[in-house]
Amino acid sequence: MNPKPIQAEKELKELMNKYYSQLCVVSVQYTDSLEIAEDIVQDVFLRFWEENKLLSAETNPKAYLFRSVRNASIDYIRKNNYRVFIDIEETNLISDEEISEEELSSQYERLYRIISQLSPQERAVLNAIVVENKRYKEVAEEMNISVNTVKTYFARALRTLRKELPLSILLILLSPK
Amino acid sequence: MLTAEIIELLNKYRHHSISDTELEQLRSWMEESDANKRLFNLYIKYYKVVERWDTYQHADVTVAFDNIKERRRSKMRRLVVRRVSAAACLLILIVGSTCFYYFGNRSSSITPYSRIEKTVLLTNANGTRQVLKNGGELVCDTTSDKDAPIQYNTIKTEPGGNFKLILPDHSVVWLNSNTTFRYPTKFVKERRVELAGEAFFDVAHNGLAFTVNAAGNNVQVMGTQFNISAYPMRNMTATLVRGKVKVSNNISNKILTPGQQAVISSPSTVISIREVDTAIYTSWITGVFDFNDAPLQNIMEQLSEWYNMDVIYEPESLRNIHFTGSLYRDRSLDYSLEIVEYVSDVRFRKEAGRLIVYKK
Repeated sequence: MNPKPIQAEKELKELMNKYYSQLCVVSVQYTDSLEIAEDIVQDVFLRFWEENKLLSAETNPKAYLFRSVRNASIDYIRKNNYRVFIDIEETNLISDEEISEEELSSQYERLYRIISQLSPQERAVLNAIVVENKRYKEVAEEMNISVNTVKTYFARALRTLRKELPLSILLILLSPK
Repeated sequence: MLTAEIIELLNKYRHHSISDTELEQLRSWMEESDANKRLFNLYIKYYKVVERWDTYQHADVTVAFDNIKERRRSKMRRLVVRRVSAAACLLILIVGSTCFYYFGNRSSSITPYSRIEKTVLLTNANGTRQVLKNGGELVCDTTSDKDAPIQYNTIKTEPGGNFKLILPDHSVVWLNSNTTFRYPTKFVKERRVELAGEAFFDVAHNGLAFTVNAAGNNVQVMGTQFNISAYPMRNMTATLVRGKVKVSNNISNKILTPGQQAVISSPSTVISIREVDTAIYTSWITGVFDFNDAPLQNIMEQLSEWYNMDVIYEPESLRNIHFTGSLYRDRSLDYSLEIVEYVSDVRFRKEAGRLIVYKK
């Protein structure tokens, strides 16, 4: 049994406040799901608490936690037989040092600046055609505009994006969660 | 060039629903040109950027911490059955163990209580009555005419009975013994139900507030798990397992976080809040009553709900003897009481329909 349960709980909370979000980011890079990432990170914290590792001063809790979450995430995708191109996935992981609010938000901002050049109508048309795979006529009926207007929006949106980045970005920023 | 098929493959890849064949298709598309390879690489790169930021913003450390605490608590509970606390009068009860069964036939000081077959009564808005099977479940009909007026049904369990109800919004309600529950046949604009007795709620989140009116107090939630006990002549309690609820009466309102219990003695007294082991208040839905270092009084309250009897203590101090263990609703009352007698000096006898608790 843990001799100092209250202190251990306090310590756990401190560690979680400090690293929880970052650890979820580590895990989501492998699992591509917020829920699964949170489950994995919570399992790791629970195990540490039970095994009373949080209080042992000689270990570096940060390195320990990051390593455990990474291993658990890799185990998870192996066990669940995720089909991925490992080499490509690996080159797109970021290092633990890069996982900070500042860095993550600035990477995202850069993407968002590009997509925000599109008007809401252009985005809606793009989403319907590229992501939902609808025909011009369907989109026109749904949005209550003419087929020609749909074509204009679509062409304009593609022009804007082609200047800036490959079409692939559409799939990410427009696809429904 | 991106075709609709490639876009679909990319989406499947990202959501991990791609098959082996499809993965091969994606690979050969990538091998067609360097441009394709680069496009795929950027696809991965960009969605990782989006999901990392999304995760960083939405990972909820408060919920996570509560989760971990609750999971640890329930694990410890399982370990504690054999652990004797320092408290001198803590006794260990292991009810339902087969080894006891061999001692079970000795003559007992208890007059057996019979467990007659119970029924659950459903009364429709137009007054028609329907008898349902005790311990059964009912799924509300959601296919009814949308324009039909809202009507109210009432379900009543007998003492010792229980029932499971699935409401039109897919929320699940477990009704405990001797409980009356009133609910509309469909929910429009709000979800409002009435309870007298005890029920455990697993409320589906659908954007409409869900309000339970019990003993003149309101418990309001969006989507969550909680237990309400509101029997006449007893304090009402609302115990939160998950999510968030607001408890209000005529003069105050309080927000509960998981693991907290609101205690209300009447609609016009201040609501008090305490931290509790939620399993003690919710385990009845599984037919197992788990208790950890709980006073005999709490255990007898649960038994008296199941078997419908009044309990008298001689002397009163017996209320505070503590026990750890589990009781099973599908066993007879005699069986449960014999276990208590077996591990302690507490004895029971029946007198004029009441159960007397005394000391050997």
